[in-house]
Amino acid sequence: MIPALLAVLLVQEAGSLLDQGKRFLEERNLEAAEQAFRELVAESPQDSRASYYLGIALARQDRTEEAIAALESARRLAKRPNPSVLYELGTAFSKLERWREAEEVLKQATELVPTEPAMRLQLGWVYYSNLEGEKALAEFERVIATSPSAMAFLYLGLTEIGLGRNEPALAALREAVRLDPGLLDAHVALGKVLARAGRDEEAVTVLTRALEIDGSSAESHFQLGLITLRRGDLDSASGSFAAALEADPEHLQAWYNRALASERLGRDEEARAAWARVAELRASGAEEPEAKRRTRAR
Amino acid sequence: MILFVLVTFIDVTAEAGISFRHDDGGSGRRYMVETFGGGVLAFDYDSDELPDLFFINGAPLPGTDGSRRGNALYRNLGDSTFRDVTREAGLVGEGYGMGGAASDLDNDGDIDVLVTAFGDNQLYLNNGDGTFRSRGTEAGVADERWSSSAAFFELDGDGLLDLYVANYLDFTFANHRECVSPTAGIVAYCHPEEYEGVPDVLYRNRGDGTFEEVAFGSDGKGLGVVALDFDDDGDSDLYVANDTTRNYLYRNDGGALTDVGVEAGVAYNEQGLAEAGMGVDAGDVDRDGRLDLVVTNFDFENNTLYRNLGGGFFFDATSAFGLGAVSLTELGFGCDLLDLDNDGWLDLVVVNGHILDNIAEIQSNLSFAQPGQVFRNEGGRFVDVTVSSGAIARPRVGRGLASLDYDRDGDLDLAIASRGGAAELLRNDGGNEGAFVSLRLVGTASNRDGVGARLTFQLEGRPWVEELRSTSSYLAQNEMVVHVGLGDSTRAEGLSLRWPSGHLDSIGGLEAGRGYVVKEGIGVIR
Repeated sequence: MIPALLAVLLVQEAGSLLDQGKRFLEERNLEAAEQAFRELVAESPQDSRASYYLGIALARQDRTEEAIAALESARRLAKRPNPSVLYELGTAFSKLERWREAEEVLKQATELVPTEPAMRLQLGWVYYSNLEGEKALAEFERVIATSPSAMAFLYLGLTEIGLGRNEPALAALREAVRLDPGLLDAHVALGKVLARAGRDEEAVTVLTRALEIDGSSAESHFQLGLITLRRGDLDSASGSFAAALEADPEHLQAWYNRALASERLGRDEEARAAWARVAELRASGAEEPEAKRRTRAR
Repeated sequence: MILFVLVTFIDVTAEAGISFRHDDGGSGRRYMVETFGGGVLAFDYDSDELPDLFFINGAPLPGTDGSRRGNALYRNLGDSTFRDVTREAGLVGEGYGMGGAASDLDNDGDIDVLVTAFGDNQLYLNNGDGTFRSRGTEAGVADERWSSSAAFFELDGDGLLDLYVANYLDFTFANHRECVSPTAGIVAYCHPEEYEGVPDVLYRNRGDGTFEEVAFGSDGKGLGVVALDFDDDGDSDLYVANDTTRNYLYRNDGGALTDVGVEAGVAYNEQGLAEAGMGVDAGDVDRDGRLDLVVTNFDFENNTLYRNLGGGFFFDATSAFGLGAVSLTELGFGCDLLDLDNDGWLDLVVVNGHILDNIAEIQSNLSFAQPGQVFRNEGGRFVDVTVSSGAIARPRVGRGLASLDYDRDGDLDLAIASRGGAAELLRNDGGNEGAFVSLRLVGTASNRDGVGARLTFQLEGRPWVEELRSTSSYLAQNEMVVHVGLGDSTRAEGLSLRWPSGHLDSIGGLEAGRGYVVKEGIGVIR
C-alpha cells in the first residue's frame, strides 16, 4: 500500500510541477519555469514531457545549446516521434545556423503532420536561410496551397527577393499586405523592393502606411529618407534619418546617410558628429551581418 | 533624334582569327588567384590606326602539369581579321598575368605596355617596329605582390603618364587556405576577408622608360581603377573599386592624392556598406556635363551607379537610373559605359561570371557562367535590352571587357576575356545607324596619347562630355579614341578640347561618319 500511495503522490507532484511550469511559461517567468521543469526532470527522468518543456524554457531564454540538449533528450525518451519536439528542435538548430540538422528534424516533423503550416514555414525558412531558394519556394507554396496566410506570402516574397526576382516578390508581398494590412514586415519589405525598382511613388505610399502601423519603424523612416535623398530634398531626408535614429540609435546606414546629408547641407558640426558615430559603429562590428552574408554566399 | 536602334552583337571570334583561350592554371586546389583572370587590352601597337587586341594569360599553378601558353597579341589586318603576332612582337610574357594598361610612356609615338601580374609586373617598351623590349626590374614597376588593374594618367602635369597599380590580396601559395562553405560544407574559394589587402602603388614616370614609387598609403583590396576629372578642375583624379572594403576616390591636388571617397559619397553604397567592387567606369550618363561612376559588384549587390552632383558630391542613384533590380543574381566584372547605338547617350555593358566554380552547389539559383548584360540609356534611365542583344547574352565566366571599333564601321564592338575560357570578339551590328565621329588625340605639351583630355560640346541642347582614358572596366583597356554618337545630327559643332597641359583647342565643326586626328595646339590634322 505504501509504495502505491507514494507513486500516486509522486504523479500528483509531477503533474503539479508540469502545470506550474507551464503557467510560468505563459507568464513569461522563464527562470521559474526552468526551475519547475528541472525539478520535474529530476523527479521523472523518463518523462519526455519534462525535457521537452525544459527545452522550451531554455530556448526562450536564448540558451539554445542547452535547449537542444534537453530537446534531444525529449526526442530520445518519446515512445514515438513527436512532431512538437522535432519542431522545437528544428527551430533551435535554425537559431544556431545548424541548417542540415534543422532540415533533418523539420522534414521528419512535416512528414508526421503534413498539413501543419508552422512546421512547413519553419522548414522553408531553413531552406531560405541556407540559400536553397527553390526548395524554400516549394515549401511556402505548399503552405499557401492549403493555408494561405500573410506570413506565408511574406516568406514567399522574401525568398523571391533572395532569388533576385523582383516581380514575383512584389506580387507575394502585395498579397501579404492584402491579407494582413497590419503586418509591418511585409510593408517594409514591399517598400524596399519598390524603391529598388525605382518605383518611388509607390514605395513612399507603402512605407508611409508602415509608419502608420508602427511609427517607430526605423527601417521605414530610413527607406523614406533614401527616397527623399534621391529626390534631392536634403532637409526632409535628414529628418527621416533622424527619425530612424531615434527609433534605432545604432542604425549604421541611417547614421551614414545622415552624415552625407548634413555635409551637403553645410551642417559641418552635425556631419562631424554623424561621421564619428559611423566610425564607432563600424568599429563595434555593426556591419557584421552584411559581411557574414557575403561570406556565406561565397 | 533616333527613337530606337536595335543593336545586336554577333560572335565573329573565329572568323576574325582569334583563338586565345585563358589558362587559369587551376588544379582543383582552388588557389585564390585562379578565379580572377583574365584581362584584355585594345590598342594600336603598330601605329597603323587600327586597334589591335592583347589578351593576358595566366599560367599553370602548383598541382598542374604543362607549360605556360602565354599572352596573345592579335594584329588587326584591316579586313576584319586578325593575325597572332605575339612571338614576333615579343609579348609572350612570363609569370601569371592578370591585366594591364597600354600607352605611350616615353612620348616617342608608339604605345608601350604594362602587364600586371600575380608576381612581378612587366613593362614592355615599344621599339616602333612592331616589337617590344622588356625593361625587367629596371623599369621600377616589378612588384611581386598580386596586382590587378592599372591606370596611366598624368599625376603632375609634366606631360608624362604616371601609373597607379591596384593591388589585391596578400595571397601566396604559402598562406593558401582551404575554405569550406558553411552552408554547403564543400570546399570553395575563400572570402577575401581571409587575407589582408595589399597596398596599391603609385609610380611617377621618369620619362626614360622607368618609374619611381611615390610614397602613398592605402589598405584596400583593389580590383578596378579608372582615372577621371570628377571635379572638373583640369587634372586627373582616380577612383578605385575595392573588394569588400570601401572604394577610394583620390582627388588630385597638384600631384598630391587625397582620398575623399567617404565625404563624396562613393566609398559605400546607399546603405552605407562597403560592397565587393570589381570593375569601374566613368561617364556622363545623364548628360549634365559631369562624369558619373559605375561599379560592378558581387551577386545580391547591385551594380552601383554614383551620380555626380557637382561640388565634389555624388549620390547612389542606382535605383533612380533603373539599375536597382536588374543585376541581383549576377556577379559583375568588366563594365563599359559606351554609346552602343550612337544616339549620344552612354549605354552600359557588363560581363558577369561568378567567383566560385561550384556556386550552383552552394546557392541553387546562381551559376558560375552568367550572361552578359546590355542596358540601353533612354534619356538618363537604363533599360535592360539584353535579350535582344545577341551573343553578349551567352553565359560565360566573364572578366575583362574592352570596346573598340575593329572593323571601322562607326560603332563600338566588344572584346571579352573569360576566366579559363575562350576570348570573344563581338561585332556590333546596327549601332552605326546613328551618326558618329571619333577623335584620336596627339598630345604635344601633354602626354602624346592625350590621356586625360576632356572633350565637351552641346548636342541637341544638352552638354556632352567625355575624357580619354587609358583603362577602365576590369583588367581592361578600351581603344584610345573618343567616340561620339551624334544621333541623326550630320555634324558635331563647337567642340572644346581641354588637354592635361591646360591648353584649350576649339574645334569648329566635324562632319559625321569618320574618324579624325586632333593634335594639341593645332586642331584637326586629318
